[in-house]
Amino acid sequence: MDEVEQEDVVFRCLTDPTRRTILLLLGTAGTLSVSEITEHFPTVGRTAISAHLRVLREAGLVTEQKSGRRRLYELGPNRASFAIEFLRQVYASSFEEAGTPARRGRPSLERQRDAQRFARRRVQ
Amino acid sequence: MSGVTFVNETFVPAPLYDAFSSFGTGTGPGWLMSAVARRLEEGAALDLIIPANGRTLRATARVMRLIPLRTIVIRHETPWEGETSLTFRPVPGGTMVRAVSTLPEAALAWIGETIVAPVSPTSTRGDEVAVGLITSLSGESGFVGRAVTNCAILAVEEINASGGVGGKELQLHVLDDETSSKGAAKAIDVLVATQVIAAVGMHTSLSLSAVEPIVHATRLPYLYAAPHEMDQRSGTLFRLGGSIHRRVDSALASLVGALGAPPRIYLIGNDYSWPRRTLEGARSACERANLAVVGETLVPLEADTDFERIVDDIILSGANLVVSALIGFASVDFERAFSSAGLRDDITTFSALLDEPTLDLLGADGEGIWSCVTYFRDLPTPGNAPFLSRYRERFGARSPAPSALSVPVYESIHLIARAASQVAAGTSPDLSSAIAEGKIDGPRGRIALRDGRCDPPVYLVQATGAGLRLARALGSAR
Repeated sequence: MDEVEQEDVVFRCLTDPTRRTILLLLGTAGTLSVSEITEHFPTVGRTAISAHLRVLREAGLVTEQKSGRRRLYELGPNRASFAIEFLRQVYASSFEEAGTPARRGRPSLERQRDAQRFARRRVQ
Repeated sequence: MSGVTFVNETFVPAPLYDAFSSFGTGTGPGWLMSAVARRLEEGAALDLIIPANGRTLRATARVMRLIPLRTIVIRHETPWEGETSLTFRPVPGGTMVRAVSTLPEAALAWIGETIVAPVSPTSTRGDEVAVGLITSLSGESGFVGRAVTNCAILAVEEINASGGVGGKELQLHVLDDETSSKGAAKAIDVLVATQVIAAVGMHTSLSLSAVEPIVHATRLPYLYAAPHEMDQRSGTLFRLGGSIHRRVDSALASLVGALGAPPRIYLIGNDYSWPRRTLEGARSACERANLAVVGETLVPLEADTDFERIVDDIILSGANLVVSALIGFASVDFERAFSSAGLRDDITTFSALLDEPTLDLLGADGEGIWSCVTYFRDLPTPGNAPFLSRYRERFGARSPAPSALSVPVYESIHLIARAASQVAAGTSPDLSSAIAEGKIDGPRGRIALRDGRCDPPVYLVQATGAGLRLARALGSAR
C-alpha cells in the first residue's frame, strides 16, 4: 500500500466515533483486552467492537498481541497519521460556521467599540 | 515528518462586514473554535475551545496581522503552535472565508504525546547535558505555558551561546502536565528516564505533590518556580516562586484602608492546596484585624463552573472586597463574569495570581484588579530591561509576555547551569549543594537561595490598560 492509500485508510478509520474513542482509550490505558474495551461501550456489542478493532489493525493504528487466551490491543505504528488526522478534523470542523454572527453572551466593551470603528469604515 | 497544512474554504450567507466582524465573538465551535477576542486588533489575545473527541481543550492564540475586512492571521500559542490565515472575499450572496492553517511538527508531537499516547524518554548524547521543564500547556492553566517555555528556551540558548555547561551543550526537555497531578507524575517519570541533571517545575502545587515523591526517591534537583505555600526545606526540592500567601495580609491592609466603608470580604479560590492556604491566610488576617468575611466559595479545577451564579452570590453577600485565589481559565472566566456584571467600580478585587498572560486574555475586563507579584513587566531592576529586549528579539513583539510565573523559570535554568559548571570545575561537590547556595542577578533582581528557597520582594500591583502598575513594595516574603 502506498502512502496516499495508507492515509486514506487512516482517514476512513477515524470518521467513526467508536474507533476514535477506542484510540483515545488505548492512548490513556496503554494496553487493553477486547472485553475491557467493550466495557466502555454499553450500547455496542462485542462483535461490533471486534470489527472496529480489525479495521484499526489493518490501518496500522493498533497492534494485537495474544496473551494466553486473551487478545491485547495497544496503539500501533500509525499514531503519527492519527495525530495529523485528528488535527485535520479539528480544523475542518472549525470553519463550518465561519462568519456566523454572535448568538451568545454580551461582547466586551472593546468589541463594541471595534464594531463602531468598522461600521464607520464601512460608511466611508 | 515535518509540519502539515490544512486548507478550508466556507461560503457564508452574510455580507463581508458581518462575516468579518463576527470573528472572535465566541459564536461556536464551527467558527474558529469559539474564538473569543476581547479586542480585534494586532497583538490581541484569543481564547479558543477545541472539541476533541468528547472532551474539550481550551487553547490560546494571538492576532498577528489584521487587514480590516480582508485578512486575519492568528498564531496559536497553547496547547500547540501554528498559524491560521483567514481571508474574506465578497461573492454574490455572501462571503467566502478561506482558512489556511500551518502546523509545525511540534504540534503533531503534542497531539501524539497528549491525546494519543504517553511520551517515551529520549536518550541523551554524551556531548549533551539534559535539563527538564514541567509546565502546563493544556488544562486549566495551560495558557501560561508558552511564555514559560519561551523563558526556558531563552535561558538555554544564552547558556549554550556562552559555552554550555562544562563544555557540553545544554538540551531542554519540555513536558506538559495538562494541569493535572496524573500528567505531572507521567512527566517526572519521563524526565528521570531521560537522565536530566535537574528539572524546573512551573505548575500547580497539586502537580508538585505528584512530583515530590519521585524527586525525593531519586534526589533529582527540582526547582519549583511557582508561588508556593510551604516553609520547610525539603531535600533536593528548591522553591523559587516566592511565598505570596504571606504577603496577602499586608496587601489586604492597604486595600481595606482605601475602601472608604466597613470592609465586607468575600473569598473565592480553586479547591487544592495553594488556593486553600492562600485563602486561609486571608481569613486569619481578617480575623486578626476584625474584618467581616461575608462569603467563601471553593471551585474544583476543570469544573466548567457557572461563575455568573457565583457573581450573583457575591452581589447578594453585600461584599465590597473580593479576594480571589483562582488560577488559569477559572480566574479568566470569573473575572469576565464579574466585569460583565458591571461590578468592577463598586467592588474591589484582589487576585493572588494575576500574571500578564491572564491579563492579556481579560483585556479591559481585567482593569482595576489588584494583585501581589514578585515580577511585573515594568519592574525597575537593572536586569529586567535587557532581559525583556532579548526576549522580544528572540520571540517577536507579539509573543506572550513574561510574567511572575515565567521569569522564575528563566532564573532557575541559569541557576542550574551555573551550579553544573561549578560541579564540572570541581568547586562544588554535587549539583544540589551548588544550587542550595545559588545566587543570580536576574530580572527580579538578586535571587539568592537559603534553606532551599528564595524570597524575592513582593509588590502590590494594579491592572491597568497598559499592564500591571506598581502601587507599593510589600517587602521580602520571608
